[in-house]
Amino acid sequence: MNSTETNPLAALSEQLAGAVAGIAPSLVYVDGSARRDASGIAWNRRTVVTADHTLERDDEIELVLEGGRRIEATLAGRDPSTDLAILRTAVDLPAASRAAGGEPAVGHLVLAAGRDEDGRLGASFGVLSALDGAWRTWRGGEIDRLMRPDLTMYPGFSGGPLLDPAGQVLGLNTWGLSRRTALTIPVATIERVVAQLESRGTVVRGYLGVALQDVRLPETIRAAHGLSRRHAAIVVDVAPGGPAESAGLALGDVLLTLGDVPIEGSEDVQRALGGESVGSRRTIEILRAGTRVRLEATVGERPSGD
Amino acid sequence: MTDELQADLAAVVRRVRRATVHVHDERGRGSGVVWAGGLVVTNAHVVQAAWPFVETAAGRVRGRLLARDERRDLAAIGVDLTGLDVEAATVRPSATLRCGELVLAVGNPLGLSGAVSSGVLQRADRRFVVADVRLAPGNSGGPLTDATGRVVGVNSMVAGRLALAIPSEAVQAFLAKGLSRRAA
Repeated sequence: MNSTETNPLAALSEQLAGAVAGIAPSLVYVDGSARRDASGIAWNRRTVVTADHTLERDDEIELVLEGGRRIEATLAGRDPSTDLAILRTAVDLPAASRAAGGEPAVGHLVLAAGRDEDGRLGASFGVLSALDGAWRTWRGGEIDRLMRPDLTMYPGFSGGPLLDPAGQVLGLNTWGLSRRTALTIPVATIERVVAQLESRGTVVRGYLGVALQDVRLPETIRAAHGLSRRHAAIVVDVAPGGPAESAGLALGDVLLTLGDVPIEGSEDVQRALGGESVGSRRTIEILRAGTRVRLEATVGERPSGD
Repeated sequence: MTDELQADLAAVVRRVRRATVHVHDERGRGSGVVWAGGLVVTNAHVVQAAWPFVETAAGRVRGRLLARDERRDLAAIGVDLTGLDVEAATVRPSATLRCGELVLAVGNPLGLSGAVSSGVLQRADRRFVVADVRLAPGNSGGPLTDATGRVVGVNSMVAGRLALAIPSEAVQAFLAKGLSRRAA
Protein backbone atom coordinates (compact mmCIF):
# COMPACT_ATOMS: atom_id res chain seq x y z
CA MET A 1 0.00 0.00 0.00
CA ASN A 2 1.20 3.50 -0.87
CA SER A 3 1.94 5.96 1.85
CA THR A 4 -0.40 8.90 2.22
CA GLU A 5 2.15 11.28 0.72
CA THR A 6 2.37 9.48 -2.59
CA ASN A 7 -1.24 8.40 -2.80
CA PRO A 8 -3.01 10.94 -5.06
CA LEU A 9 -6.51 10.00 -3.92
CA ALA A 10 -5.58 10.44 -0.27
CA ALA A 11 -3.88 13.72 -1.18
CA LEU A 12 -7.06 14.96 -2.87
CA SER A 13 -9.09 13.84 0.14
CA GLU A 14 -6.76 15.77 2.44
CA GLN A 15 -7.09 18.83 0.24
CA LEU A 16 -10.89 18.70 0.28
CA ALA A 17 -10.98 18.29 4.06
CA GLY A 18 -8.51 21.17 4.28
CA ALA A 19 -10.78 23.33 2.12
CA VAL A 20 -13.71 22.71 4.48
CA ALA A 21 -11.55 23.31 7.55
CA GLY A 22 -10.30 26.54 5.97
CA ILE A 23 -13.77 28.01 5.43
CA ALA A 24 -15.10 26.77 8.78
CA PRO A 25 -14.30 29.92 10.84
CA SER A 26 -16.10 32.03 8.20
CA LEU A 27 -19.10 29.73 7.82
CA VAL A 28 -22.11 30.33 10.07
CA TYR A 29 -25.59 28.95 10.59
CA VAL A 30 -28.21 31.68 10.12
CA ASP A 31 -31.22 31.51 12.42
CA GLY A 32 -33.61 33.88 10.72
CA SER A 33 -36.59 31.66 10.06
CA ALA A 34 -38.67 29.16 11.94
CA ARG A 35 -39.04 27.00 8.86
CA ARG A 36 -35.80 27.16 6.92
CA ASP A 37 -32.25 26.36 7.83
CA ALA A 38 -29.62 28.51 6.17
CA SER A 39 -25.92 29.21 6.18
CA GLY A 40 -24.01 32.44 5.82
CA ILE A 41 -20.49 33.52 4.85
CA ALA A 42 -18.42 36.09 6.77
CA TRP A 43 -17.64 38.48 3.94
CA ASN A 44 -16.06 41.42 5.68
CA ARG A 45 -14.95 41.81 9.28
CA ARG A 46 -18.47 42.27 10.66
CA THR A 47 -20.59 41.53 7.65
CA VAL A 48 -22.13 38.16 6.90
CA VAL A 49 -23.76 37.52 3.55
CA THR A 50 -26.59 35.02 3.18
CA ALA A 51 -29.45 34.05 0.86
CA ASP A 52 -32.25 36.59 1.25
CA HIS A 53 -35.12 34.14 0.68
CA THR A 54 -34.15 32.18 3.79
CA LEU A 55 -34.78 35.19 6.08
CA GLU A 56 -38.33 35.34 7.41
CA ARG A 57 -37.63 37.88 10.09
CA ASP A 58 -36.09 41.33 10.02
CA ASP A 59 -34.96 41.14 13.62
CA GLU A 60 -34.00 38.64 16.31
CA ILE A 61 -31.61 37.02 13.88
CA GLU A 62 -28.91 34.85 15.40
CA LEU A 63 -25.83 33.18 14.01
CA VAL A 64 -24.23 29.94 15.15
CA LEU A 65 -20.46 29.96 14.79
CA GLU A 66 -17.87 27.23 14.75
CA GLY A 67 -18.00 25.39 18.06
CA GLY A 68 -21.71 26.12 18.49
CA ARG A 69 -21.38 29.65 19.88
CA ARG A 70 -24.50 31.77 19.26
CA ILE A 71 -24.29 35.50 18.53
CA GLU A 72 -26.80 38.16 17.58
CA ALA A 73 -26.89 39.76 14.18
CA THR A 74 -28.85 42.63 12.69
CA LEU A 75 -30.22 42.76 9.18
CA ALA A 76 -28.23 45.49 7.44
CA GLY A 77 -29.73 45.23 3.97
CA ARG A 78 -31.48 42.89 1.62
CA ASP A 79 -31.81 42.59 -2.12
CA PRO A 80 -34.52 40.10 -3.10
CA SER A 81 -33.68 40.64 -6.78
CA THR A 82 -30.32 38.87 -6.40
CA ASP A 83 -31.41 36.87 -3.33
CA LEU A 84 -28.64 38.37 -1.19
CA ALA A 85 -28.85 39.88 2.27
CA ILE A 86 -26.21 41.17 4.65
CA LEU A 87 -26.16 40.79 8.40
CA ARG A 88 -24.09 42.86 10.79
CA THR A 89 -22.37 41.31 13.78
CA ALA A 90 -20.86 42.92 16.86
CA VAL A 91 -18.11 40.32 16.75
CA ASP A 92 -15.23 40.18 14.29
CA LEU A 93 -15.34 37.15 12.06
CA PRO A 94 -12.55 36.12 9.67
CA ALA A 95 -13.59 37.06 6.13
CA ALA A 96 -13.79 34.13 3.73
CA SER A 97 -11.06 34.08 1.12
CA ARG A 98 -12.45 34.47 -2.36
CA ALA A 99 -11.13 32.96 -5.54
CA ALA A 100 -9.12 35.62 -7.33
CA GLY A 101 -8.50 35.08 -11.02
CA GLY A 102 -8.11 31.52 -12.28
CA GLU A 103 -11.34 31.14 -14.22
CA PRO A 104 -13.50 28.27 -13.08
CA ALA A 105 -14.35 25.84 -15.86
CA VAL A 106 -17.11 23.34 -16.41
CA GLY A 107 -15.96 20.04 -14.93
CA HIS A 108 -13.85 21.55 -12.16
CA LEU A 109 -14.20 19.82 -8.81
CA VAL A 110 -16.21 21.82 -6.30
CA LEU A 111 -17.49 21.53 -2.74
CA ALA A 112 -20.61 23.02 -1.19
CA ALA A 113 -20.60 23.60 2.54
CA GLY A 114 -23.05 24.56 5.25
CA ARG A 115 -23.48 24.64 9.00
CA ASP A 116 -26.38 23.29 11.02
CA GLU A 117 -28.14 24.69 14.08
CA ASP A 118 -25.86 22.75 16.40
CA GLY A 119 -22.82 24.31 14.75
CA ARG A 120 -21.84 21.17 12.86
CA LEU A 121 -20.32 21.40 9.39
CA GLY A 122 -21.69 19.70 6.32
CA ALA A 123 -20.21 19.33 2.87
CA SER A 124 -21.01 17.82 -0.48
CA PHE A 125 -18.81 17.19 -3.47
CA GLY A 126 -19.29 17.36 -7.23
CA VAL A 127 -18.35 19.24 -10.34
CA LEU A 128 -19.12 22.60 -11.84
CA SER A 129 -21.89 21.58 -14.19
CA ALA A 130 -22.71 24.72 -16.15
CA LEU A 131 -21.24 28.18 -16.66
CA ASP A 132 -22.66 30.92 -18.81
CA GLY A 133 -22.76 34.66 -19.18
CA ALA A 134 -24.58 37.34 -17.20
CA TRP A 135 -28.29 36.83 -16.60
CA ARG A 136 -31.24 38.42 -14.87
CA THR A 137 -33.19 36.67 -12.14
CA TRP A 138 -36.98 36.38 -12.24
CA ARG A 139 -37.00 39.38 -9.93
CA GLY A 140 -34.81 41.42 -12.22
CA GLY A 141 -31.55 41.09 -10.33
CA GLU A 142 -28.30 41.22 -12.31
CA ILE A 143 -26.09 38.15 -11.83
CA ASP A 144 -22.63 38.40 -13.38
CA ARG A 145 -22.54 34.84 -14.62
CA LEU A 146 -24.63 31.73 -14.54
CA MET A 147 -22.99 29.12 -12.32
CA ARG A 148 -24.57 25.76 -11.57
CA PRO A 149 -22.82 23.08 -9.56
CA ASP A 150 -23.75 19.42 -9.83
CA LEU A 151 -23.78 18.22 -6.25
CA THR A 152 -26.32 17.58 -3.53
CA MET A 153 -27.44 20.88 -2.06
CA TYR A 154 -28.64 19.72 1.35
CA PRO A 155 -31.24 21.60 3.41
CA GLY A 156 -29.48 24.49 5.11
CA PHE A 157 -26.83 24.89 2.40
CA SER A 158 -28.58 27.96 0.93
CA GLY A 159 -26.42 30.97 1.84
CA GLY A 160 -23.33 28.79 2.14
CA PRO A 161 -20.27 28.81 -0.10
CA LEU A 162 -19.30 26.94 -3.21
CA LEU A 163 -15.60 26.21 -2.85
CA ASP A 164 -12.81 25.16 -5.14
CA PRO A 165 -10.54 22.37 -3.84
CA ALA A 166 -8.13 25.00 -2.53
CA GLY A 167 -10.88 26.30 -0.27
CA GLN A 168 -11.45 29.59 -2.11
CA VAL A 169 -15.04 30.80 -2.32
CA LEU A 170 -16.44 30.73 -5.87
CA GLY A 171 -19.84 32.03 -4.85
CA LEU A 172 -22.89 31.67 -2.62
CA ASN A 173 -25.30 28.79 -3.13
CA THR A 174 -29.04 29.30 -3.15
CA TRP A 175 -32.29 27.53 -3.91
CA GLY A 176 -33.96 30.95 -4.18
CA LEU A 177 -33.26 31.80 -7.82
CA SER A 178 -34.72 28.79 -9.59
CA ARG A 179 -37.45 26.35 -8.63
CA ARG A 180 -35.69 23.52 -10.40
CA THR A 181 -32.09 23.79 -9.34
CA ALA A 182 -29.73 25.31 -6.85
CA LEU A 183 -27.48 27.96 -8.36
CA THR A 184 -24.36 29.78 -7.23
CA ILE A 185 -24.18 33.57 -7.09
CA PRO A 186 -20.64 34.43 -8.19
CA VAL A 187 -18.21 36.43 -6.06
CA ALA A 188 -18.33 39.45 -8.42
CA THR A 189 -22.08 39.81 -7.90
CA ILE A 190 -21.76 39.43 -4.15
CA GLU A 191 -19.03 42.09 -4.00
CA ARG A 192 -21.17 44.53 -5.99
CA VAL A 193 -24.39 43.92 -4.07
CA VAL A 194 -22.67 43.91 -0.67
CA ALA A 195 -21.03 47.28 -1.49
CA GLN A 196 -24.44 48.75 -2.40
CA LEU A 197 -26.17 47.24 0.60
CA GLU A 198 -23.44 48.46 2.93
CA SER A 199 -23.68 52.03 1.68
CA ARG A 200 -27.47 52.28 1.30
CA GLY A 201 -29.08 49.21 2.88
CA THR A 202 -30.80 48.52 -0.40
CA VAL A 203 -30.02 47.93 -4.04
CA VAL A 204 -31.17 50.48 -6.57
CA ARG A 205 -33.95 49.24 -8.82
CA GLY A 206 -36.04 50.94 -11.45
CA TYR A 207 -39.70 51.71 -10.70
CA LEU A 208 -42.73 52.48 -12.83
CA GLY A 209 -45.49 52.25 -10.25
CA VAL A 210 -47.74 49.74 -11.96
CA ALA A 211 -49.07 46.35 -11.05
CA LEU A 212 -49.21 43.98 -14.00
CA GLN A 213 -50.69 40.67 -14.87
CA ASP A 214 -49.74 38.38 -17.72
CA VAL A 215 -52.31 38.32 -20.50
CA ARG A 216 -52.80 36.29 -23.67
CA LEU A 217 -53.13 38.33 -26.84
CA PRO A 218 -56.17 37.32 -28.93
CA GLU A 219 -55.40 36.11 -32.45
CA THR A 220 -57.35 38.96 -34.05
CA ILE A 221 -55.30 41.59 -32.19
CA ARG A 222 -52.04 39.84 -33.05
CA ALA A 223 -53.00 39.72 -36.73
CA ALA A 224 -54.21 43.32 -36.77
CA HIS A 225 -50.94 44.61 -35.32
CA GLY A 226 -48.51 42.11 -36.82
CA LEU A 227 -47.41 40.86 -33.40
CA SER A 228 -45.54 37.55 -33.20
CA ARG A 229 -45.64 37.31 -29.40
CA ARG A 230 -48.59 35.50 -27.86
CA HIS A 231 -48.51 37.14 -24.45
CA ALA A 232 -48.10 40.60 -22.95
CA ALA A 233 -48.73 42.31 -19.58
CA ILE A 234 -51.91 44.19 -18.63
CA VAL A 235 -51.98 47.06 -16.15
CA VAL A 236 -54.15 46.14 -13.16
CA ASP A 237 -53.14 49.00 -10.85
CA VAL A 238 -51.40 52.35 -11.18
CA ALA A 239 -49.67 53.92 -8.17
CA PRO A 240 -50.89 57.50 -7.60
CA GLY A 241 -48.17 60.01 -8.46
CA GLY A 242 -45.84 57.28 -9.80
CA PRO A 243 -43.86 57.43 -13.08
CA ALA A 244 -46.50 55.40 -14.93
CA GLU A 245 -49.33 57.67 -13.92
CA SER A 246 -47.30 60.74 -14.89
CA ALA A 247 -46.68 59.15 -18.28
CA GLY A 248 -50.43 58.66 -18.78
CA LEU A 249 -50.59 54.90 -18.34
CA ALA A 250 -54.06 53.75 -17.30
CA LEU A 251 -55.83 50.70 -15.95
CA GLY A 252 -56.40 48.14 -18.70
CA ASP A 253 -53.50 49.26 -20.93
CA VAL A 254 -51.56 46.33 -22.37
CA LEU A 255 -47.75 46.74 -22.38
CA LEU A 256 -46.05 45.61 -25.57
CA THR A 257 -42.56 47.09 -25.24
CA LEU A 258 -40.59 48.98 -22.62
CA GLY A 259 -37.60 50.79 -24.08
CA ASP A 260 -36.27 48.21 -26.52
CA VAL A 261 -37.45 45.22 -24.47
CA PRO A 262 -40.43 43.30 -25.90
CA ILE A 263 -42.87 42.51 -23.09
CA GLU A 264 -44.34 39.02 -23.00
CA GLY A 265 -45.21 39.09 -19.33
CA SER A 266 -44.66 40.99 -16.10
CA GLU A 267 -41.24 39.35 -15.60
CA ASP A 268 -39.93 41.10 -18.71
CA VAL A 269 -40.88 44.44 -17.16
CA GLN A 270 -38.99 43.50 -13.98
CA ARG A 271 -35.97 42.62 -16.07
CA ALA A 272 -36.13 45.91 -17.96
CA LEU A 273 -36.01 47.87 -14.71
CA GLY A 274 -32.47 47.17 -13.50
CA GLY A 275 -30.51 49.72 -11.48
CA GLU A 276 -29.18 51.35 -14.64
CA SER A 277 -32.73 52.27 -15.76
CA VAL A 278 -33.31 54.72 -12.89
CA GLY A 279 -33.73 58.29 -14.19
CA SER A 280 -33.76 57.24 -17.85
CA ARG A 281 -36.61 58.07 -20.26
CA ARG A 282 -38.19 55.00 -21.80
CA THR A 283 -40.74 54.66 -24.53
CA ILE A 284 -43.64 52.46 -23.50
CA GLU A 285 -45.66 50.96 -26.28
CA ILE A 286 -49.16 49.90 -25.30
CA LEU A 287 -52.43 48.63 -26.70
CA ARG A 288 -55.37 50.74 -25.57
CA ALA A 289 -58.84 49.85 -26.79
CA GLY A 290 -57.34 48.03 -29.76
CA THR A 291 -55.06 50.90 -30.78
CA ARG A 292 -51.29 51.09 -30.42
CA VAL A 293 -50.18 54.06 -28.35
CA ARG A 294 -46.68 55.26 -27.43
CA LEU A 295 -45.99 56.95 -24.13
CA GLU A 296 -42.82 58.36 -22.59
CA ALA A 297 -41.97 57.60 -18.97
CA THR A 298 -39.12 58.58 -16.70
CA VAL A 299 -38.14 55.52 -14.69
CA GLY A 300 -38.13 56.23 -10.97
CA GLU A 301 -36.32 54.50 -8.12
CA ARG A 302 -38.15 51.77 -6.34
CA PRO A 303 -39.03 52.75 -2.78
CA SER A 304 -37.16 50.54 -0.31
CA GLY A 305 -39.09 47.68 1.16
CA ASP A 306 -41.10 47.25 -2.01
CA MET B 1 -1.86 13.55 -12.35
CA THR B 2 -5.24 12.35 -13.60
CA ASP B 3 -3.84 9.00 -14.67
CA GLU B 4 -2.28 8.51 -11.25
CA LEU B 5 -5.52 9.47 -9.57
CA GLN B 6 -7.52 7.04 -11.69
CA ALA B 7 -5.04 4.24 -11.12
CA ASP B 8 -4.99 4.93 -7.42
CA LEU B 9 -8.79 4.99 -7.22
CA ALA B 10 -8.98 1.71 -9.09
CA ALA B 11 -6.45 0.13 -6.72
CA VAL B 12 -8.28 1.35 -3.64
CA VAL B 13 -11.61 0.10 -4.99
CA ARG B 14 -10.07 -3.26 -5.85
CA ARG B 15 -8.84 -3.62 -2.29
CA VAL B 16 -12.18 -2.65 -0.76
CA ARG B 17 -14.07 -4.99 -3.07
CA ARG B 18 -11.91 -7.88 -1.86
CA ALA B 19 -13.18 -7.12 1.62
CA THR B 20 -16.84 -6.94 0.54
CA VAL B 21 -19.20 -9.92 0.25
CA HIS B 22 -22.85 -10.75 -0.45
CA VAL B 23 -24.77 -11.86 2.59
CA HIS B 24 -28.22 -13.43 2.46
CA ASP B 25 -30.64 -15.72 4.20
CA GLU B 26 -34.21 -16.79 3.43
CA ARG B 27 -35.58 -13.38 4.22
CA GLY B 28 -32.96 -10.75 3.57
CA ARG B 29 -29.99 -9.88 1.47
CA GLY B 30 -27.32 -7.23 1.51
CA SER B 31 -23.60 -6.70 1.77
CA GLY B 32 -21.00 -7.57 4.36
CA VAL B 33 -17.50 -6.53 5.37
CA VAL B 34 -14.77 -9.11 5.85
CA TRP B 35 -13.34 -8.46 9.28
CA ALA B 36 -10.12 -9.92 10.66
CA GLY B 37 -10.44 -13.26 12.45
CA GLY B 38 -12.71 -15.08 10.02
CA LEU B 39 -15.65 -12.75 10.55
CA VAL B 40 -18.13 -11.03 8.30
CA VAL B 41 -19.88 -7.97 9.70
CA THR B 42 -23.23 -6.86 8.30
CA ASN B 43 -26.45 -5.20 9.44
CA ALA B 44 -28.88 -6.91 11.79
CA HIS B 45 -31.65 -6.04 9.34
CA VAL B 46 -29.89 -8.00 6.59
CA VAL B 47 -29.62 -11.38 8.35
CA GLN B 48 -31.73 -13.12 10.96
CA ALA B 49 -31.20 -16.81 10.21
CA ALA B 50 -28.75 -18.86 12.27
CA TRP B 51 -26.88 -20.05 9.17
CA PRO B 52 -26.77 -17.25 6.58
CA PHE B 53 -24.99 -17.51 3.25
CA VAL B 54 -21.81 -15.59 2.46
CA GLU B 55 -21.06 -15.28 -1.23
CA THR B 56 -18.45 -13.83 -3.59
CA ALA B 57 -17.71 -14.33 -7.27
CA ALA B 58 -15.44 -17.20 -6.18
CA GLY B 59 -18.09 -19.18 -4.31
CA ARG B 60 -20.73 -19.47 -1.65
CA VAL B 61 -20.49 -20.84 1.88
CA ARG B 62 -22.77 -21.08 4.88
CA GLY B 63 -21.68 -19.06 7.87
CA ARG B 64 -22.90 -19.05 11.41
CA LEU B 65 -24.58 -16.07 13.04
CA LEU B 66 -22.43 -15.33 16.09
CA ALA B 67 -23.92 -12.12 17.38
CA ARG B 68 -26.73 -9.77 16.47
CA ASP B 69 -27.72 -6.38 17.87
CA GLU B 70 -30.89 -4.84 16.46
CA ARG B 71 -30.43 -1.59 18.34
CA ARG B 72 -27.07 -0.99 16.72
CA ASP B 73 -28.17 -2.75 13.53
CA LEU B 74 -25.10 -5.00 13.51
CA ALA B 75 -24.60 -8.71 13.00
CA ALA B 76 -21.45 -10.85 13.00
CA ILE B 77 -21.12 -14.04 11.01
CA GLY B 78 -18.38 -16.61 11.57
CA VAL B 79 -17.34 -18.16 8.29
CA ASP B 80 -14.59 -20.21 6.69
CA LEU B 81 -13.34 -17.71 4.13
CA THR B 82 -10.85 -19.95 2.33
CA GLY B 83 -11.99 -20.33 -1.24
CA LEU B 84 -13.91 -17.05 -1.29
CA ASP B 85 -10.88 -15.02 -2.45
CA VAL B 86 -11.31 -12.29 0.13
CA GLU B 87 -9.06 -10.29 2.37
CA ALA B 88 -9.95 -8.72 5.70
CA ALA B 89 -10.52 -4.97 5.67
CA THR B 90 -8.19 -2.56 7.39
CA VAL B 91 -10.05 -0.40 9.85
CA ARG B 92 -9.75 3.26 10.80
CA PRO B 93 -11.49 4.93 13.76
CA SER B 94 -14.24 7.11 12.35
CA ALA B 95 -13.58 9.80 14.95
CA THR B 96 -10.40 10.74 13.08
CA LEU B 97 -12.35 11.68 9.92
CA ARG B 98 -12.61 15.31 8.88
CA CYS B 99 -15.57 16.95 7.15
CA GLY B 100 -14.89 17.03 3.41
CA GLU B 101 -12.71 13.91 3.28
CA LEU B 102 -13.42 11.61 0.36
CA VAL B 103 -15.30 8.45 1.25
CA LEU B 104 -16.28 5.39 -0.76
CA ALA B 105 -19.14 2.95 -0.31
CA VAL B 106 -18.92 -0.53 -1.81
CA GLY B 107 -21.79 -2.99 -1.86
CA ASN B 108 -24.35 -4.83 -3.88
CA PRO B 109 -27.13 -2.33 -4.54
CA LEU B 110 -29.83 -3.00 -7.13
CA GLY B 111 -28.49 -6.47 -7.82
CA LEU B 112 -25.05 -5.17 -8.81
CA SER B 113 -21.93 -6.73 -7.33
CA GLY B 114 -19.20 -4.62 -5.80
CA ALA B 115 -20.71 -1.36 -6.94
CA VAL B 116 -18.94 1.79 -5.80
CA SER B 117 -20.32 5.16 -4.88
CA SER B 118 -18.32 8.11 -3.66
CA GLY B 119 -18.71 11.41 -1.90
CA VAL B 120 -17.45 13.34 1.07
CA LEU B 121 -17.82 13.00 4.79
CA GLN B 122 -20.30 15.25 6.57
CA ARG B 123 -19.60 14.29 10.15
CA ALA B 124 -18.91 11.35 12.38
CA ASP B 125 -20.38 11.09 15.85
CA ARG B 126 -20.94 8.19 18.21
CA ARG B 127 -24.18 7.14 16.57
CA PHE B 128 -23.45 7.54 12.89
CA VAL B 129 -20.92 8.35 10.25
CA VAL B 130 -22.87 10.70 7.97
CA ALA B 131 -21.69 10.99 4.38
CA ASP B 132 -22.68 12.71 1.16
CA VAL B 133 -22.87 9.38 -0.67
CA ARG B 134 -25.76 7.90 -2.61
CA LEU B 135 -26.71 4.46 -1.35
CA ALA B 136 -29.42 2.03 -2.45
CA PRO B 137 -30.96 -1.07 -0.87
CA GLY B 138 -28.28 -3.75 -1.08
CA ASN B 139 -25.59 -1.39 0.16
CA SER B 140 -26.74 -2.28 3.67
CA GLY B 141 -23.98 -4.02 5.61
CA GLY B 142 -21.26 -2.98 3.18
CA PRO B 143 -18.19 -0.88 3.97
CA LEU B 144 -17.82 2.88 4.01
CA THR B 145 -14.13 3.63 3.63
CA ASP B 146 -11.74 6.57 3.51
CA ALA B 147 -9.67 7.50 0.46
CA THR B 148 -7.11 4.80 1.21
CA GLY B 149 -9.71 2.05 1.56
CA ARG B 150 -9.73 1.79 5.34
CA VAL B 151 -13.19 0.96 6.71
CA VAL B 152 -14.68 3.75 8.82
CA GLY B 153 -18.20 2.39 9.05
CA VAL B 154 -20.78 -0.20 8.02
CA ASN B 155 -23.50 1.29 5.80
CA SER B 156 -26.83 1.01 7.49
CA MET B 157 -29.43 3.41 6.15
CA VAL B 158 -30.28 6.30 3.91
CA ALA B 159 -31.64 9.58 5.25
CA GLY B 160 -32.70 11.82 2.42
CA ARG B 161 -29.66 11.79 0.19
CA LEU B 162 -27.25 11.12 3.03
CA ALA B 163 -25.67 7.80 3.87
CA LEU B 164 -25.65 6.75 7.51
CA ALA B 165 -23.07 4.18 8.56
CA ILE B 166 -22.41 2.52 11.91
CA PRO B 167 -19.04 3.87 13.11
CA SER B 168 -16.09 1.47 13.06
CA GLU B 169 -15.61 2.02 16.80
CA ALA B 170 -19.16 0.79 17.43
CA VAL B 171 -18.45 -2.29 15.29
CA GLN B 172 -15.33 -3.07 17.32
CA ALA B 173 -17.25 -2.63 20.57
CA PHE B 174 -20.08 -4.81 19.27
CA LEU B 175 -17.65 -7.56 18.29
CA ALA B 176 -15.78 -7.40 21.58
CA LYS B 177 -18.99 -7.65 23.58
CA GLY B 178 -21.02 -9.97 21.33
CA LEU B 179 -18.26 -12.53 20.81
CA SER B 180 -17.05 -12.64 24.41
CA ARG B 181 -20.62 -13.20 25.62
CA ARG B 182 -20.93 -16.10 23.27
CA ALA B 183 -17.65 -17.58 24.50
CA ALA B 184 -18.70 -17.22 28.14
